[in-house]
Amino acid sequence: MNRCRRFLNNVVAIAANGFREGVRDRILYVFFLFALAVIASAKLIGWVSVGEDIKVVRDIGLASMGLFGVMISIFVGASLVHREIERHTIYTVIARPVGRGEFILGRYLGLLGLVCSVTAAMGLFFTVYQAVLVWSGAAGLSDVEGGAVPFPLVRAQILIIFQFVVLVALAVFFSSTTTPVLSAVFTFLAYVLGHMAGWIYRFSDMVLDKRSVTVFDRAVSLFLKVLYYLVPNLETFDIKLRAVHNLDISNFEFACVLLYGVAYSAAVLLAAYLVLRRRQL
Amino acid sequence: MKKLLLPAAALACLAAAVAAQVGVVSSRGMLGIANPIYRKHADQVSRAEYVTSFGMYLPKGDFAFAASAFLGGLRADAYWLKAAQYVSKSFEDPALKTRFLGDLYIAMIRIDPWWSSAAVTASNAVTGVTNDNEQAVEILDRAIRVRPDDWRLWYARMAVYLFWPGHKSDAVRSALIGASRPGASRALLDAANQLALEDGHYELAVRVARRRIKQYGLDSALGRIAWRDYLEHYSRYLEHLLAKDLEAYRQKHGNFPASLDGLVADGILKDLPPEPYGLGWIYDPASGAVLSRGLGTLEGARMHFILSFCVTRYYRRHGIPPASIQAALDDVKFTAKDIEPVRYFGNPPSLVPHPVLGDWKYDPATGRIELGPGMDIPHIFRRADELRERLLSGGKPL
Repeated sequence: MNRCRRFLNNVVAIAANGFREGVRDRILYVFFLFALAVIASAKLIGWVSVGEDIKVVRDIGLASMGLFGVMISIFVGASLVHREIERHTIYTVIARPVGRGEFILGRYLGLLGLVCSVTAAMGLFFTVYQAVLVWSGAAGLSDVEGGAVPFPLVRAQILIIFQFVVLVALAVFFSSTTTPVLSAVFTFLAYVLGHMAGWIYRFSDMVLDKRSVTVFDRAVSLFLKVLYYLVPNLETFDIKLRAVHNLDISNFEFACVLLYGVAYSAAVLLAAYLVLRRRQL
Repeated sequence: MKKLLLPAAALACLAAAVAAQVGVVSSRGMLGIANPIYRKHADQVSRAEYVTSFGMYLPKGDFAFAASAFLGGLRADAYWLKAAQYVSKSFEDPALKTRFLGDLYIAMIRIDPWWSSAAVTASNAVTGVTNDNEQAVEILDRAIRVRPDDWRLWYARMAVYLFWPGHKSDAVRSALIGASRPGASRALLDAANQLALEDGHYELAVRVARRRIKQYGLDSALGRIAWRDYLEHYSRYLEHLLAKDLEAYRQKHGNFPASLDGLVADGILKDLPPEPYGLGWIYDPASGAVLSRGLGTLEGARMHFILSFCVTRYYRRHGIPPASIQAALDDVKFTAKDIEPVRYFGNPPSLVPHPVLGDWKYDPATGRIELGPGMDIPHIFRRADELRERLLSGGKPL
């Protein structure tokens, strides 16, 4: 019991420290203010969009939340563990009765808390902005389309925030294995490729989409299908296209997506711990 | 053993993630909206091509999606804005403009298959470009597959079928389905009613009219109009059925019965259906023609309105009333838009008698066409309202 409490105390202390460290980073505010400016200016494009203004406003708002959240994850998260190793500040931590697992988890939760707080703040701003547009009648939104802030849009925002659960885990993993620059590149690539995972599934179908299918084709198709389930699939969290049209997803699907985020990030964090455990500091 | 614990835990987490992912794919697959699966279908309607002559570039095939992986909505919006600009842009070749717009709209729905407005506009553009109604319906059907509850898609589908010769029944069906969708425009149901009637689907017209009454409520203003339409359609439907029964009688006996009661006496009908307006049937034993007096009165009043209009126009043009009604008709040229006049009098027009009164009473000195008491439109509408009120107060209309 004591061991468990000590573990939690250590993790919380490291996470809080990481969060404070991230809050002091100026780049965070640059991204945050820029995101707010983009969301606020969405209506300018909405004005010239011939009857589709609310869709354009929603598209820009959701895309900004995702994109700037990712930038914060990459730029703040890439150097997270590596900087500690480079500056040797990690010694002061692990010299104490703090395990490397606690260090990894604490750093992860600290960064995740930071990214989620910033994205949630953007989401709140976006929601209020939309509500003001609808209330003032500037959005051209009818009641049929779901009022000020339709529920699917809230779900889409939750899932945007939730994709960082996976992305930050990947950032921490790369940060504990390579240099900050490579880590940033790898995290960004993981983000882009994670959103294209659906194509692996698609290719697995395309391989079989011909007249004579060989055993090799079937093997390739199966391999691609397995690969689809193994790579980080960030497209799973992307329901923006449907949400802007006020189309909801089922509770089952929503729960599966949340479970996917938690389970996949746990696997990545365990892998990060395994790598860091073997590393000579 | 301890060494293997952590890798095993990592693998267990991965297995849980895979299981959750399977759940997501099966859920989206069941709804037919899994992004990769849907896009495979969406690709089949793709006509997006490189258009270089205007410096405009549309990515082809899979590249469009790959390039817009997580910003698909924004990319589709950019195309929408581009299309809005090109709508007002003048092209030397108008066909190229519409083709270009068609490509843009199709690219939009490939990226965002849930965007109904883009699908509707794409179908309009496709019919405008190539008159390819099949492709327009295909685009709409794919959009309907992912958004079956969007009445605007059904409305657009009805419009495509409406201008596609020989597909009026499909137009009616689309209108009926669309009308049952949440928030559907009333125009859909009214259009379905009119189309069914024009296409000779009398029974369907009656059913749609009943549905309109149910939807609007008999005591509402719209319900009042629907009730009038119902009486008209029902009369026409009964006329149609009686004509069929009379033909069956003639085939059996070699001649038409002396009266409509002959149909009951012969066992073809159990009872003679009451005329919906309560004004009785007009029957000619020589020709076997049967007519609802109420409907005949209404049709006659409408014909009277058109004829009076033609006479007035003749008077304005020549300064004197026409010598006969036919002279007034000869002086006009009906166009395709004059649906009702052409339906009654043909094109070129020739005078037909009043359905109930027979020959028209025309005074060449004054240019007036006499109709007689109780034969005008307000009178027959008052009769319909009386029946409605009787129904509303709990009684039978007849």
